[in-house]
Amino acid sequence: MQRLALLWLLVPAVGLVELGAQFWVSTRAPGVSQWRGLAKSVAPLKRPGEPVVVAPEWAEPLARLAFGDDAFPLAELARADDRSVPRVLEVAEGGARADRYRPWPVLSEERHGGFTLRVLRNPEYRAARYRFVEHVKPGELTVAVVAGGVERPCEYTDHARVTAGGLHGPVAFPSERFQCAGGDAMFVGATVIDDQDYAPRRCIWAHPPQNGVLRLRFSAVPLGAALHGFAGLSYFIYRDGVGTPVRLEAASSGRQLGASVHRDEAGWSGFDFSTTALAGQTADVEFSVSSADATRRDFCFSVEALE
Amino acid sequence: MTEARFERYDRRDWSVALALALAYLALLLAGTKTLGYMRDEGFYVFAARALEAWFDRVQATGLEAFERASIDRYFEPIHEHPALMKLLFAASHRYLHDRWGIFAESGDAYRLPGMLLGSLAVSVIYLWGRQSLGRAGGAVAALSFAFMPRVFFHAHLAGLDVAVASMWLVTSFLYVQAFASRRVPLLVGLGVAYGLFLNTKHNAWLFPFALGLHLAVVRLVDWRRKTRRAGPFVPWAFVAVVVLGPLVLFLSWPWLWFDTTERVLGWFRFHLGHDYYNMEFLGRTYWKPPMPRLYAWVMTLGTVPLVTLALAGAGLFDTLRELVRGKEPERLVGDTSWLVGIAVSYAPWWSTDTPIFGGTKHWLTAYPFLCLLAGRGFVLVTRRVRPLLSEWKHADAVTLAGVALAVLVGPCVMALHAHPFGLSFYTPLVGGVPGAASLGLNRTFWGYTTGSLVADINERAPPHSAVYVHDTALQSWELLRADGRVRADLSGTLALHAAKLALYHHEPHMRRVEFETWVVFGTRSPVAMAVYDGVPVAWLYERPEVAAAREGGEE
Repeated sequence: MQRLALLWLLVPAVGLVELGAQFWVSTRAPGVSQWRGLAKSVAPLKRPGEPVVVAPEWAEPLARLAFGDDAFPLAELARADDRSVPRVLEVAEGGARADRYRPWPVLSEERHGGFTLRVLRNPEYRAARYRFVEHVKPGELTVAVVAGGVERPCEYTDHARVTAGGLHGPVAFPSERFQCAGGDAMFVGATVIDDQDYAPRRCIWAHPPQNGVLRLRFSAVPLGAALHGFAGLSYFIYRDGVGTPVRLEAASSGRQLGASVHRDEAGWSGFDFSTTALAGQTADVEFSVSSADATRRDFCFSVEALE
Repeated sequence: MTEARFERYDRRDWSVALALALAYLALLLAGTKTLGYMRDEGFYVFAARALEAWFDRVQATGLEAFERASIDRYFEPIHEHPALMKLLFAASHRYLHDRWGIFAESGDAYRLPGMLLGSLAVSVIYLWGRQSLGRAGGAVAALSFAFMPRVFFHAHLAGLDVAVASMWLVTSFLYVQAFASRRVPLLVGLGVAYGLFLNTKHNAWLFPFALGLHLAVVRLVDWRRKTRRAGPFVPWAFVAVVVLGPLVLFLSWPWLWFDTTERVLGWFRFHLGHDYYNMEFLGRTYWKPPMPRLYAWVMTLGTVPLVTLALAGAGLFDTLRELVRGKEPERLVGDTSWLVGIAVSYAPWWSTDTPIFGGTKHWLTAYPFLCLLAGRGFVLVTRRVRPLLSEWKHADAVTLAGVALAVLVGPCVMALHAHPFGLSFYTPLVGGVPGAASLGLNRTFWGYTTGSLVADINERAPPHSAVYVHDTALQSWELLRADGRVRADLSGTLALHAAKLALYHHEPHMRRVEFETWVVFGTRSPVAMAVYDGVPVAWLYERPEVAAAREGGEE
């Protein structure tokens, strides 16, 4: 009986253990000042083109607060994927790891207080010769709407009104863009959309016209073995999947390189077009974007020419 | 069989009940200054302001204010929820803030009715517990409820959730008192209570089903035990609820006085066909059915102190054992009402069609009964532990005090620590706030954590500039401004491009708003952050040119 009575002591014991655990869990994660204190150690390890990743992932805003924009260029923070990333700098609280990068070999590892800084090598790295999203500029890109054999150029401006639709509206429309006729959303410019994990993806906004195709011609593109790309619409807005598919075609030197049909519910989805026959050449590359019904086709894509 | 038993309370019991309520109210009032305003509070305050205008009209025009045009105009805002709490918010603000100046801040006055109902719940739990469990059991039950971190959070608000939990509790308490009674005042009081419960929130629709289930269980056990029934098969209390309740609802909610059928049906339609909002659970954002069946259970485990659940588990064991054994028949009606209160409050979340967007507040009505079971568990544990200390001096007192401290200090620490991040709080069972973030449990919603960033906003915003409020309702922002917590020259806006500062309240599906900020402001680096136990909850962006100008000005 005495022993059974002892079992009932487990209930108050749970209370005391939970109290101790509460103190532990509420103090174990580093705060803002510790993150700020780490900035000096991160700066020398951060190299251009090698993104900072944070473990656990939810601590990343703290890292952005502490390390600033230099450690988080938009092109790295909202990259399309990791294919052309040679290495990443993993900033980890304690023993945390970023799941996606666990298979990557560790090149170096340093402890700084409660943090671990690891440089990780991409085992499947392929160098990018050209990232199209970085060339949405006059002189490198021309944009036109082609309908019924008539070509209407979209003029470049660097002082368009910057707008954003909030949670339920369009993504941010940048000031630098090739503005086409037909409304504010009819432009080509670099912005950021949310993918199916609500993660950021920097891409070229290319809303197709109601009639005809939107044509983007990038000049003097150094081509490699493949065009590696992704396309999507803001997942939060279009995840119902009721929109008309959008077709993206790529061509160069009069040669069709490939086509991808994007359905909204797929989210940020990838495609690869072989350019083996043109590898090593510098040529113009043309993308055509169209949809059978272009109503609210807030299409965005990102392509890299890989080695 | 249970008979009305108010007379069993002595002055000490009433004093304890009152002291608990007042202490809880004081604690809640002490915490309002650091707590921002929720989206829903903004909307209810908007509705309450319309009702304050109606008060003026009543004063100015008398009976004319009760005619259709007036009722339609002033009761239309947020008419998908009934009138009682909105009327109380309005009255509290109009008299305690505007007229008598008892509250300096509008927000406190609007919040007072919700806090009073939370405090009422604490006292009623004590009184019911006192009746069924003794003073110590009642006190442990009441304090376990008061210090449930999510309850503590919701009890601060000009909202409906703690209010409806309180009304369910009060109506159940009266129902149990009146179960075998024919005393007309008690039955009328019960009917009025249910009417006001209906007039608080639509959770009250479930109550008759709960009573039906309760009656079925009680009669089944009576039959099994061959107990001689006191009173009719269907008690007068049940009749009072289903007859008087709707009548009181009709009388006390003027919106229903016109086009009654259509408006009642509209009320039902709105809630039975409610939109699905987004909610993160275990790393996935749910936004359409099927909703996860485990949601309510996992969230309960992750947000209610484990020791309270352990006590409730012990209490459940004792209650079920008693139902089978029948050694204390006077417990049947009351204990069954606790079990039914829990079961019916959680029942909608067995369906994968039931929205989950409000998190734990959806089943908050179960928690008073869960805590009464915890009180039962406390009694059982102390009874079993007491013999271990038989050779101690004052063994009874030592056992009671020791076990009470062990089971209450943790919840108390957690509830106080949860403030003002109540919706972000998780218990150590899931690793606390960091553990929950790693598991992908919702970090915040309702945009209230702006309250944790007002000092940075006030410091950084240029004069007469706009702040993008993101998930904070503009009405909630206006409350912050009216209370002087945000500078009077700052306006809230939903146009990011027009703003100098931008707030972001983290939920995965809202991240697109942060990406918009990156593009529009040209920076990815927040300048201030509301961090809770090392986890970012909400943060603030400042346009780099604004920061440069401010820093230049400071030099």
